[in-house]
Amino acid sequence: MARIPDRNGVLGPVVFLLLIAIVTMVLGPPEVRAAAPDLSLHMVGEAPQFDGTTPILVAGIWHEIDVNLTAAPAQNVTLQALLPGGTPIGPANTYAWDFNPVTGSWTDSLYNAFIRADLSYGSGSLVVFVVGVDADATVGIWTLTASVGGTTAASETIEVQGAQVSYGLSTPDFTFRVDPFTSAQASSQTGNVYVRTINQGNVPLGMLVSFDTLQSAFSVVNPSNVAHLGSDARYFLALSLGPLPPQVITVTARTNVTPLYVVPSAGASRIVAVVQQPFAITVEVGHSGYAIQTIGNVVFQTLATVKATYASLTTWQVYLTGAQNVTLDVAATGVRLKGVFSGTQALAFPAPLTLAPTAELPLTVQIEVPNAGAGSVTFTIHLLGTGDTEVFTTQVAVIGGPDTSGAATATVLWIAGAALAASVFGLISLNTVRHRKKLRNAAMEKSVKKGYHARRQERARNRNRRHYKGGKGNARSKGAGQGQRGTTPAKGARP
Amino acid sequence: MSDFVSVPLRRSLVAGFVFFAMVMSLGQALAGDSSSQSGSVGATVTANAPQITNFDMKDTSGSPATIIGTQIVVLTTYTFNFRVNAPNGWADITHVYARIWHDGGNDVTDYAGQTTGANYKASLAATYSSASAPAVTDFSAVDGNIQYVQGSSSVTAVVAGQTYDFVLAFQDHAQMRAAKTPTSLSTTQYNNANSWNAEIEATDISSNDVFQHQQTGTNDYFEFGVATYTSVTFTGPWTATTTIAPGGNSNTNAVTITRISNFEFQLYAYFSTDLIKQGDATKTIPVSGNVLIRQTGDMGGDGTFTGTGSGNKVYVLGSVTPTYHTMDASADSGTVSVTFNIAVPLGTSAGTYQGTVVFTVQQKTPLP
Repeated sequence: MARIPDRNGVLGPVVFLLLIAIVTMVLGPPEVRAAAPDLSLHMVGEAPQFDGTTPILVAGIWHEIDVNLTAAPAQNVTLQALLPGGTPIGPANTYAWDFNPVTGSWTDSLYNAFIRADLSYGSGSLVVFVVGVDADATVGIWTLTASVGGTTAASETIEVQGAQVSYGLSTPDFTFRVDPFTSAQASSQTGNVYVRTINQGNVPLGMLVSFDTLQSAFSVVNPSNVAHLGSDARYFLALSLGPLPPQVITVTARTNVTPLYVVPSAGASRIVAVVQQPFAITVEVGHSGYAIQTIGNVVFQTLATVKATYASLTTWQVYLTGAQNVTLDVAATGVRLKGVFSGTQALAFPAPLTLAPTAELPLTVQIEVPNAGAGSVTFTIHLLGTGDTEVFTTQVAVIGGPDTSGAATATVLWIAGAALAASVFGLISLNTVRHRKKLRNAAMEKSVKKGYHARRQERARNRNRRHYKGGKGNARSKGAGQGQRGTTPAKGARP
Repeated sequence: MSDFVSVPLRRSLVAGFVFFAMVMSLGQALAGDSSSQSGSVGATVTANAPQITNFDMKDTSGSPATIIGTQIVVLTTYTFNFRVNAPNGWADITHVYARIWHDGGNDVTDYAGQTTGANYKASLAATYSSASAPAVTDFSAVDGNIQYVQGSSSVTAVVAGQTYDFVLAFQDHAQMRAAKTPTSLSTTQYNNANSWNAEIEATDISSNDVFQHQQTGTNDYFEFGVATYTSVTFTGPWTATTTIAPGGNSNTNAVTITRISNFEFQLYAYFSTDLIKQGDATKTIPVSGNVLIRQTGDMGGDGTFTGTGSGNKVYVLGSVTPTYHTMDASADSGTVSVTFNIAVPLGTSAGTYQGTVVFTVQQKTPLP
C-alpha cells in the first residue's frame, strides 16, 4: 500500500480552517457573514432614525431605501410599502416601486409620483430606491418588502411618522465694537457669544442667515446649510469692517429655515411652512467704553461714567465728529471743572468748534473733585447749521473722600462708652444712696432706744467732736452733714 | 466719712473708669480701620450658624467660566458652585437652596417676592433631617422651569460631616424669561433691573437662616441675563381637505403650531410665493383674495393675504399695531391651531398647486 507522505500534516490545518470558516459564517455578525438580503432606510443626507429598534420613515420626506441582495439582480426588483389592513388602497397606505435592471428604469407603478428616478441607483447587489410616501399617509407600523422576480428577498417592519418641522433659535446680545476710522476684524467667538440652532423635529432643515445691512461685512463662522435631525449647533458671527466714522449701526439678521427633501403633494393644494426668525446685532463704531451720542449729523463720544479720585485732578477725552460746525458749552455739578482743552488751548465757553465727517476732534476735559459724593459734567452741543441743541452728561463717581468713617465709628463708640460710663456712675450713686439709707436707719434705730438725757449727751458729744475736728477736718463732708441734721450749726463750724 | 461707704465707692469708681477706658480703646482701635467687609447677609442668630462661601455660577465648557454679568442660554447646562460649612456638623442642617429669579424690573424683588410664574424663578432644593452628609441625590428642581442635571452635579467633602463643596448642574427650560446682559454689577445690592439674580440659602435646626448673594472674590451681587430663544414646530403641511373645483373654496386641515418664546412676541405669516401649479410654474393661484387664515389666536376675524412678500403679513398672535403676545408665565410652550382656506378662481387649470408660507416668531425688542 502506497504511503501518502505528510497526509495528516496537510489535512489537519485544512480541516481546522474549514471549521473556523463554517463557525464564522454561522455565528459571526451579519456584516461579516456572506450577506443575506436585507433592507435599511434613511432620509437623504441623514443618519437612520429608529423608534427603539424600529426604523422610522417620515411621511412627505424623500428617503433612501437600500436593498442589499446577495447578487446583482437579473430580474425586476420591487419594493412595497404597506400599512397592514389599510383600505381602500391609496397613498394613505400602499406603495410599490420597481427597478428594471435590464432597462435601468425606476417607476412608481401605483401613483407615478413618489420616486426620485434621478437619485435612485443600482450598484451590483445593492439597489437604492429614493422614494417617499405622501405627507398625509397614515402613521403607524408598516411593512416594507423587497422582492426579486416576484420572490420575496427581504422584509422589514417600519414606523411611518408624520413630519414635524421644529426649529429653535437662541440669540444673545450681539454687540461688536470697532474703533472709528479703522479697519477692523471682530468675532463673537472672543466673548463666547453665539447663535444656537436646534432641530428638534424629524425633518432636516436648510438654514440660511441673512443680514439687512452690512451684508458683505458679516459672516457666519463655519456655517452649515443644513440643520440635521437632532442637531444642536452653535455659530459665531464674524465682522470684517472697513474704516467708518463713529456711529451705532443696528443690523437685523434673519435665519431662514426650510424643510428639506419634501415630497411634492400628489393631490390637492398645499401650503408648506418656512420658519424665519430675526435677531438684532449692534455695531458700535466708537472708542472703547464710550457712549456714542448722535445729534443730527454730529456724533459726540464721552464716557458715560468717569471714576475720579477725591481731591485729585481727573482728565478724559471726548470726541466730536460731524458734517457741520457746533458750539460747545461744558458745566459741572458736584465737581470743579478745571478746563476743556483742544490740544493745549483752553476753550472759552461757548466754544465754536469746526468739525469734519472724516476725522475726530478730540477735546480734553479736566476736573477736580473737592467733595465726596457723585457729580456730573454736562456737555451742551449746539449745531450751527441746523440749530439743534442737545445736552449729554457724564456722571462722575468719586473714589474715596475725607476719612469720616473712622471718626463716625469713634463717635458712635464714644456715645456708647459714655452711656456705659453713665450707667456705671448711676450704679455708684444708687449704691451710695443705699449705704446712706442703711446708715440713717441704723442711726434712727439707735435714737429710738435712747432716752432724753442720753440724746442730749449724744448731741453734746457731737458738738465737742466737731469743735475738735473743726481745725483739721472738712465740716462739709457728708459725715459731718449727717451728724448736724436737725441741729443749729455751731459757730465756726463753717469755713 | 465711714469706711463702709467710701470703699465700695472707690471700687465702683475705679471699675467704672477702667470699663470706660476699655470701651473707648476698643472704639478707637476699630475706628482706625475703615475698610468694609461684605459677605453673607442674613439672619444669623447664633455663633455656629452655617457659612456659605466660594459662591459662583459657571458654564460647563472645558474651562468653566463664571456666568456673572453674562447671558446664559436656555437648554444649556450651567452649575451653581458653593461651599457650605456646618460648624455643629451636617446633622444640624435642615435646608440648602440654590436659587435664581428674575427681578421683574425691581432690584429689591427677592425670590419669594417673584410670583409671576415658573418661567421667572426656580430653585434647586434639598431638605435634611439629621443627615450625616449631603449628596447630589438630595436635590430636586422646585418652583420653576429648570431641570436638575444630577449626572453633572457633585458634592465633595472638605471636612467630612461638616464642610462640603457643591456643584449643582441645571438647565433652564426654553421659556425662562430673557434678560439682557447686566452691565452694572454692585458689591452692595442687586443693581440691574430686569436681570436674573442668584443666591444660596442654608438653614439649620437652630433657626439660623444664612444667605449668600455675592460672588466670592469680586463680592458682586450675582446677576446674569438670559439670551432670547424662539422655536416653532409644525406638525405637517396644510392640504386642502377636498379637491377644489374652480369657483369653489376649501379649508385645509388644521395644523398645530407649537411656539416657544421667552419674551413678548408676535407670530405672523406671509406667502413668499403664490400657489404654483406643480409641473407648470406658469400657472398660479394668486394668494391675494384667494387664501386666508381662519380666525384663531389673537385674530379678530379671518386674516386675508393681500399679496405675497413680507409686506403682506397676517398676524396670528400679536398685531400689526404693534402689540405683542404676552409670553407664558409658567408653561414650557404654547400652541395655536391654524387652518387656511383656499379659493380656486374660475378658469384655473386643473392640477396640484403649492405655495410656501413663511411663519415668523418676532420678539419684542429691545429687551428692557
